[in-house]
Amino acid sequence: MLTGGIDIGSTMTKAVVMRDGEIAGSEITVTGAEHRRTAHLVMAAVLERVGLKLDDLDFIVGTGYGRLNIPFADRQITEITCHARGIGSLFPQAQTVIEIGGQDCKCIRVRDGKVTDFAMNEKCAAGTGRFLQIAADMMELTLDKMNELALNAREMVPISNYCAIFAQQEIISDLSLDIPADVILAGLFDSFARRLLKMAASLKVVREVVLTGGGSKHRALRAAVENILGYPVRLPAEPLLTGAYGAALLAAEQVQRAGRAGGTRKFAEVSVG
Amino acid sequence: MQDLKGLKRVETMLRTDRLARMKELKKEGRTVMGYMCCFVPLEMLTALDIAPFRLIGDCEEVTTEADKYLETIMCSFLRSAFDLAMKKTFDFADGVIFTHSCDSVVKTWEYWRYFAPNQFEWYINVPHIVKASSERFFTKELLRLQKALEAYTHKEMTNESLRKAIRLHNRNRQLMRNLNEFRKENPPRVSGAEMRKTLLACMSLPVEEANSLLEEVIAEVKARVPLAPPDRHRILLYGPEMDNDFVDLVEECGASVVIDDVCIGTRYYAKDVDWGIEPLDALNRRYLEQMVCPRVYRRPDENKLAPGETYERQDDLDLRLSYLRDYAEDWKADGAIMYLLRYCDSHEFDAPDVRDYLQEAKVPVLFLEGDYMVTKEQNKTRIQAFLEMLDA
Amino acid sequence: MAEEKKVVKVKTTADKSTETSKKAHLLVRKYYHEAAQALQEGRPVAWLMASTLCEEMCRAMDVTPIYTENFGGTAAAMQGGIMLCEACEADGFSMGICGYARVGLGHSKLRQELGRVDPSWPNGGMADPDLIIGCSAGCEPRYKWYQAQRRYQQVPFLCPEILDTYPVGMDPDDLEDYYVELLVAEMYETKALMEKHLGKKMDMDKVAEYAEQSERTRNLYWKCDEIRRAVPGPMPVEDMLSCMPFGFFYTAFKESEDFFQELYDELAARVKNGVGVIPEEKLRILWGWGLPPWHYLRIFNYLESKGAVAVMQECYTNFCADDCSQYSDPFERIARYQIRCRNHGHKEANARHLGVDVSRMISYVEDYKCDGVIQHALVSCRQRTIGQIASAEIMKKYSTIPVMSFQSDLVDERTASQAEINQRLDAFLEVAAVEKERRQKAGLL
Repeated sequence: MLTGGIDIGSTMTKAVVMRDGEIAGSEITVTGAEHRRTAHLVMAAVLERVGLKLDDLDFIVGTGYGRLNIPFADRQITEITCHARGIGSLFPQAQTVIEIGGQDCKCIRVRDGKVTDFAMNEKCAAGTGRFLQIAADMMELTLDKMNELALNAREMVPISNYCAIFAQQEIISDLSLDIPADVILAGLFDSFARRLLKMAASLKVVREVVLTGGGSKHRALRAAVENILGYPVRLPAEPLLTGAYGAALLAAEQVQRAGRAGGTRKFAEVSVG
Repeated sequence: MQDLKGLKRVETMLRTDRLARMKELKKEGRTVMGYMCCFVPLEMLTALDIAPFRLIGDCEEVTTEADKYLETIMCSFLRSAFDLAMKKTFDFADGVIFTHSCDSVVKTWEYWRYFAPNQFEWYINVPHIVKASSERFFTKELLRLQKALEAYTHKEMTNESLRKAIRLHNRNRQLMRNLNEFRKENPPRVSGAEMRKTLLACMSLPVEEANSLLEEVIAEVKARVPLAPPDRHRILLYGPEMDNDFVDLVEECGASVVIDDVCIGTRYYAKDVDWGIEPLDALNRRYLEQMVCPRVYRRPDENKLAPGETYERQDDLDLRLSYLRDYAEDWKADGAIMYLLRYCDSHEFDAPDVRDYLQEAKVPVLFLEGDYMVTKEQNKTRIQAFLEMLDA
Repeated sequence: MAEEKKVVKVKTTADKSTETSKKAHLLVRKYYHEAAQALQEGRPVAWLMASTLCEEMCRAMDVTPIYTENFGGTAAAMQGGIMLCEACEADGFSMGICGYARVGLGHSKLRQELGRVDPSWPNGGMADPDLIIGCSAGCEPRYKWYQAQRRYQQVPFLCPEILDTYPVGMDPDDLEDYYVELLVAEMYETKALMEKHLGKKMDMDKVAEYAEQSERTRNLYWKCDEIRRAVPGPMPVEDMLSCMPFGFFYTAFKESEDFFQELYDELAARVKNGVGVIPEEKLRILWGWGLPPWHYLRIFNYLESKGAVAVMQECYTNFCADDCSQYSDPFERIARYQIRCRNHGHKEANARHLGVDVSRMISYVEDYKCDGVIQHALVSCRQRTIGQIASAEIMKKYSTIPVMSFQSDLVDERTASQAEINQRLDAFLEVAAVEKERRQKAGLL
């Protein structure tokens, strides 16, 4: 059985092709302005890598913020369900998933890869991966350097603001007070982590906790989360792919439910539910 | 437009000018008044032959004028209604009546009357707590309203005219309940969106005409086959003043909203005015004690408790919220969506209790906080994810 | 896992000008400690809201009051507000609800989880109550907060219906009697419930004594505000905010009266000698409605560093110098005093077709010779925020001085940036200075 998952996020677009339960190939690219074009390009790239054609796939699930702009997807499923499914497969013990995307963050409670509750943050840059990029640009640091400085800081000044614009001003004001960059950055990651956990708090954060999404690649953020929780969290090998991976898994379930496989995506119209 | 019948008329009314009929009546010499919120005893207006219409916002009209007068950190529904007032939408009316429904309404009223004055302006200081001394106070407020309306219309509100009005409004609420019964079916024979629109149309007509319209809609719905497929999730919607298109959005996402606890919904029609007691006492009860709104504070009887004792938490919750459990059960809801308007304090204070209470009753809950103008994409993802969660 | 990092803190509280106000926090702390001590000794403690009209009854029953709204402000000023707010928000409460309520709810939630009050909390935290008394006066959080409190705390909750503010535009002469009737009925009910729960009778003679005490305290508080009309202003707003609890909450305490007497004497001496807050008072500012940003009281020192003094505030004021001693029932006396105080200026407001808050501000600008009005829009308070933009619009009809509004919150520093607020203040003060110069040149001053 061959299935595909494609995840159009606000910043990155990801695709996974699976053969009989195993990942055959994957691709990650920048989303850009034209969702449809990006969707075609990223899928074409994976298929070329694994030597398949679009019609060879039995079922394709589209997900992410741009999921409605994937003309060749057979079904759209939200990224919440897809991430839960993907993480559930990678970490069967996972109970809490925190996804840090470019445009938003989500906390998902899962059991056996199924969503039992979830929360999403407000559409505000201060709680997303984008803000870390803005801060890095402001301080003229690479993301890697930024993480390193924060990890090694001995002190921190908390960034109290919940608005990216205000938080930026707070950083500028701290810099003007001659507070060292590492102290500011340590506070920045700590505040970010607190905000993530605050969003998750109403769902009750239960171990295992898995971080995923592009933002989870920040080592200092992960350390800050672990510091607050008081225990280690898990991280997938490629956090950007868990949504697309979950989508491909859900596509396989669709085919199984329909009872057969065999290419040319004959099951586009199978009923779901 | 009056040639149109039933749901067609409802649609047309809302698409063109909701208040066209009111304006016509005004031209014919009828006294016409706008009212804010569920706390205005409409029976008293009808008894004096005043045609009341509900003051609402417009979720498709961008709020521009209100920005010059009102803060953004307040109820976005009220901002929209105020915006319409500043755009002279309600100028044709003889008067407006506000009540002490919540802090936002109280403050908005202060500036509404200053910047968008009407001939007749009245404000009912509705108490907040269900108890005897509050009821005595409320009676005085109702008598003051009566006097003010009588003075304005040069008419007398007799016991007989008030009883007649009560009968008409009870009939109105009964018809709305009848229509709501069709939502118990699976699939529901009337959608949440249709229900909302019908109520809005009825709140823009004098009660006799609203009753005829409801009869038409009921006959039409009764005669048709269900519209939705039978496997849709059945949703209970909880929220404040929801005349906006949020219900429509939930249904676009593939669910049926089968029952609600919102102001343009059951809160308006669930309870009748008691026929067996003095009309003013009955109105007093209906518009304070029986009102379902978090701004009304009720609790188990303090006086029955032993020294140092307080009532059980569960009794408190049941008294306040058991109707929600009943709604979910009777209308077979398999999920609930709470949509709170940001900065609606009384609802926000209740939200964790409501969420927990429903979950305790095994009804999964999606909690959303947003504006009167619903941001579609953002909410769609949440609603769809919730429906996928119910699938699994 | 990385090691714990030390948190660096920056001072946010204000430096005060008057000697008396510098001692205010000691008296507040004493009241809190008395509550903790009462708890230890088995004497009853009550949590109260402002406007519950219970201060005198509590004193008469030897109940130690804790004003939970006051705790919210104190916690924010001591940089302990956010921790408590977050505990509350973690339970699903919105960041939009009253900051004081979030502090209080968070306090009780953590108290329930820990099984005790952590002494490291601001002012040592609030002692467990035997009773909580809310009311319906003024705003919804006064009863919704305590209703929500039952998630964490099961103690008798009294909730009198206190409607003490006349609706805008209504004639006070038609209203006073039946408003008072409601308040008196509610006070009798509160009395009965307190007697039942505490197991003893309330001594009405004592209530009468404390009613008199409260009036004396409140009248003095009012006198202190009145004398601040002087140029240069003898006392800035930040000082009054420290003293406010004694005129607003703890009114039935003799110490509160003494405190205001001392304050009044200091102010009178300052006025006599022409002593102001700063050497050269260039601009006089009215702190318009909107409660203070307790998390950033240094804002007032910032103004002073620019030559501007906030000479008067529209919040927490007391007006009534009416003698209510002719009412022999102490409850009626308290109710009449409260109603007249709350609705002071209502007739004048009616004549202007305005609400009483805006109307008062118009009068203050004149009486306190203000050169500008600063309003604080509070993200978490509808009651003191809605109408600020409209008020600025209305005030243009009465005065040419500029009015500004900035947004933050009473407790929640996460909602604003001090740097941004300061920038806006700079621009505003420039405008106010230009306008003042214009008026001076035109001979209007």
